[in-house]
Amino acid sequence: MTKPHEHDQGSSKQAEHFETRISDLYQHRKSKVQATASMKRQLMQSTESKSKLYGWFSNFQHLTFATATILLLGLVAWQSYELRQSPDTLRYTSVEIHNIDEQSSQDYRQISQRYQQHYQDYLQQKALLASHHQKSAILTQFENGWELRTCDQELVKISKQLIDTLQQMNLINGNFKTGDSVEIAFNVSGLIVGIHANKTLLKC
Amino acid sequence: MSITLAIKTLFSISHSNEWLITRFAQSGDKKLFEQLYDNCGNDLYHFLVTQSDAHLAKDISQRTWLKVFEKPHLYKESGRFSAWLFTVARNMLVDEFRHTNRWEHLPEKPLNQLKTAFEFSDPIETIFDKTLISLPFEQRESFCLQQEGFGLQEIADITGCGVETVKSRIRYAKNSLRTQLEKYHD
Repeated sequence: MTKPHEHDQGSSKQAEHFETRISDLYQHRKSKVQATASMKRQLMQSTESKSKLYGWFSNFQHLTFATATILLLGLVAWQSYELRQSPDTLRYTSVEIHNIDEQSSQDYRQISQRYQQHYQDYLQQKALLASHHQKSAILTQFENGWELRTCDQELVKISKQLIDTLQQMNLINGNFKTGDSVEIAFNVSGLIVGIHANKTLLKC
Repeated sequence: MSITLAIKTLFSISHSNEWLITRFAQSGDKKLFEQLYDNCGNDLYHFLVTQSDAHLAKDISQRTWLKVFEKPHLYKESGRFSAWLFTVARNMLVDEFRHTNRWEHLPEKPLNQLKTAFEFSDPIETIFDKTLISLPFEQRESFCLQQEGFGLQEIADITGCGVETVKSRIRYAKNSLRTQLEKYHD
């Protein structure tokens, strides 16, 4: 009969033996199943092509960077050269000359005279327009003067004295009553120069 | 030839895989990558063959190494390079299984319920191979990863499960192997 600790020792030895044995068997199996040389060759070829692609991309990146740097430096150098040039050699896009000479002065006088002429013409035309300027209105009050309402919502008040004066000057033709439609004529200064009856009824 | 190799080996400084991958990520030197492949290529391929078949193992192995080549910066310096490599490969393999509907979550049942037939005349290596292959996927991968020298926590990280689960799977796998080996050869 074996003692318990002897039994334990025996089983642990057996276990150790088993471990060694399966380990040996495993290594034996491994020695038979190995990657072939062609697998390695194929892998290295694949890495070669990947490297070439990566290398090309890397070279392209470097080339692009180098070109951009050269261009930038060239641009900076050119700008710096341009700024260092003397003012005589600088180029301008627009030149404006201010000076006094005989010919230019005569031209100016002619232009000034023509301008004055045109301005006078303009004033005459304006006076003519004002003299013929008329407004249609409706007479609304007839006691201490007249109130004339236009369609532009304007109210023209005329004092009785002015009406009397205009009547004495025969500038008001006809007898008017409230609600009559009239034509008011103004002169250049905007003064009333006549009030006439409007044949057509004013409708606003 | 062998003398030259011996001299080269004597004078060459051997670097860890972690140093190699870090330097490769920095420099892109293909020699460093080749050295990594020489160090771990066979281990990974054997693991993948054991988990699938030769054709798929070759494909997954190539894809895994290409990923290492293209994205070495994904390696975290806190862990072992081989653990990261096996994690990448294992994930790719499982994705491939799922993509082709080959992923079956096999129940962790004892081997005697599996249909495995051996001859008493079969050499022990054959019994071992056949028994290993007939193990459920999770048991097989945990056992293989342990044989590859990974610790329980590393295996748990690679397979995405808990340490206790890993222990249990390894125990089941070893029991099955022991049963078959004793049955036919002891």
